[in-house]
Amino acid sequence: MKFVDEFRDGELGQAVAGEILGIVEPGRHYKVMEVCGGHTHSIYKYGVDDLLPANVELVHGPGCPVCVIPMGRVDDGIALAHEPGVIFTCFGDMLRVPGSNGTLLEAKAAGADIRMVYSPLDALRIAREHPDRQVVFFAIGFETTAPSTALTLKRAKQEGIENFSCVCNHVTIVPPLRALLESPDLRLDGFIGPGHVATVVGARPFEFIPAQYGRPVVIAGFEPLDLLQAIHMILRQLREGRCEVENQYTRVVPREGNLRALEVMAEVFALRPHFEWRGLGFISQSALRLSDDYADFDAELRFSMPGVRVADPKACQCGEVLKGVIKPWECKVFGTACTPEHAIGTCMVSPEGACAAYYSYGRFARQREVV
Amino acid sequence: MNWCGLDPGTGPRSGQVGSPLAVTGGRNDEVGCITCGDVAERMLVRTIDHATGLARCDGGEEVDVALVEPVEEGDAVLVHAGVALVRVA
Repeated sequence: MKFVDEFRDGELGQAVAGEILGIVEPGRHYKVMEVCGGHTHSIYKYGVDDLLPANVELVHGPGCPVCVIPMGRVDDGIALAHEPGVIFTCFGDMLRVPGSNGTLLEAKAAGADIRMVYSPLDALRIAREHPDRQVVFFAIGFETTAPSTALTLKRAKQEGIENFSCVCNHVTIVPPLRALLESPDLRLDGFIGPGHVATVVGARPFEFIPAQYGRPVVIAGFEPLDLLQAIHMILRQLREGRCEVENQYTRVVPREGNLRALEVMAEVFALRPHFEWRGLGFISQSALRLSDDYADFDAELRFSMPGVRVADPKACQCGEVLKGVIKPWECKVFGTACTPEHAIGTCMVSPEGACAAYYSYGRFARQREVV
Repeated sequence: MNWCGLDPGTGPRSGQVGSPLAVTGGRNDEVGCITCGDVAERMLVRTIDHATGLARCDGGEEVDVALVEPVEEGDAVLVHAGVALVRVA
C-alpha cells in the first residue's frame, strides 16, 4: 500500500538504526518525548525502541485525549446520558473510560441511550432522524479532531437543527507541552512532534520550544521509518548544536497547517480560561468551549450538569505516566489490577495510551541489549 | 485485539453507525482510537456533491471535504473523524 509499505521496510529501518547508533555520543543519555499517543502506539507496535541504543530513551507524552480527560467530565457525561429523552453520542474509545461510578458502557447497559459514532456528522444525522429527542455529542480530541466538531456545528446551525448539542472537551497540545517543559520532574532533550495535529495547526505553534526552551522538535509521521528518521533528525540537531522545528512528515504536513480549519475553529470555539487534565491538574487556556455565537449548541448550557471535580484513584499513576516521570510498567497496578479488559486508569483504555500500547506489544520484551 | 470490547468487524467502518456493535473505525488492518491522529486514513475521493461539501470515498465513506476544496474525483485525502484534513499525493 502506498505510503505504508515503504515506511515499514525492515532493511531501511536497520540502516537508520545504524545511523542513529553512529550519531549518539557515548556516555550521554538522551530523553526524547513523543507527544502523540499515536506515536506511542506505533513505537510499541513496531518495536521502534528496540532498535535504539540504550542511551536513547523514549518518553511518552500527554497526547492521548482519552487518557487526559478527568473523571469528573466522564461523570458529567454519564449524568447527561441518563437525562430523559437524551441520545448520548461519543467516540467508541470514550465508552470504557472510567468515571467515579463506572463507565459510559456500563451506563448504556443500565438503560441509557448511548450510541457510538465514528464522526460528529453521524451524531448530527441521528439528530435529524430523531427530531423528538435531544442528541448530545460528547466531543473529545486535540486539534486533529476539533475541526470535525466545528464543521458539524456549522452544519447544525445552517440547517437550524435545534435538538443537537455538544459537550466540548476539546483540548490543545501546546499548553501541556509548556507545562511539561516547566516541570522540574522532567529533563527532556527533544520532542517528536504530533504529525496530524500539525496537519491542522502547522509547525509554527511548536517554535516556542526551541526558541524559549532550547529543545529541538521534529514533526513526524506514524510509520516506523517515520519515527526512526525523526529520532535521527533530533539527535543530529543535538550533535550539530542546532535547535529548531523540522518537519519529517512533509508528505502530509504543510508548514502553515490548514488555514481553513483554523478559521472554522476560531469561529466555533473559544478558549476556556482553564481546564483540568487527568494527572496534570488545571492548565490555563488549554481547552476549548463553544463560542458565544454557538452557545445555543452548548450542552453545558442547555442541560444541568453536576460539574463535580473527582480525584483520580489512589492506585492509579496515570499522571506520572502522562508526564513521562515513570514508565507504564512501573505503575503499581499495571498488568495486574489494571488491564485493557478492566482499566483503572485512562492510559490503559485507549490503544494510544502508553499503558495499553505497552501492555499489548512491549511487556514481554522489556529487557534489551545494552550497547 | 478488540480494545473496545465490541465487535471489530472486518473493515474500517464495519457495523451500523449508532448501533451497539458499531466500531470506532481504524486502519485497514486494525481497530484503533480515532480521537488522535493515528487513524487518519488516506482515502480516494469517488464522488463529490459540491453543494453540500460532502464526498463519497473508499468503501462508500461519507467525508466532509470543505477544508480541502477544491477537490476532485480521484484525489487522495487524509480523513480523520469524517473530515478530510489535507490533500495528499
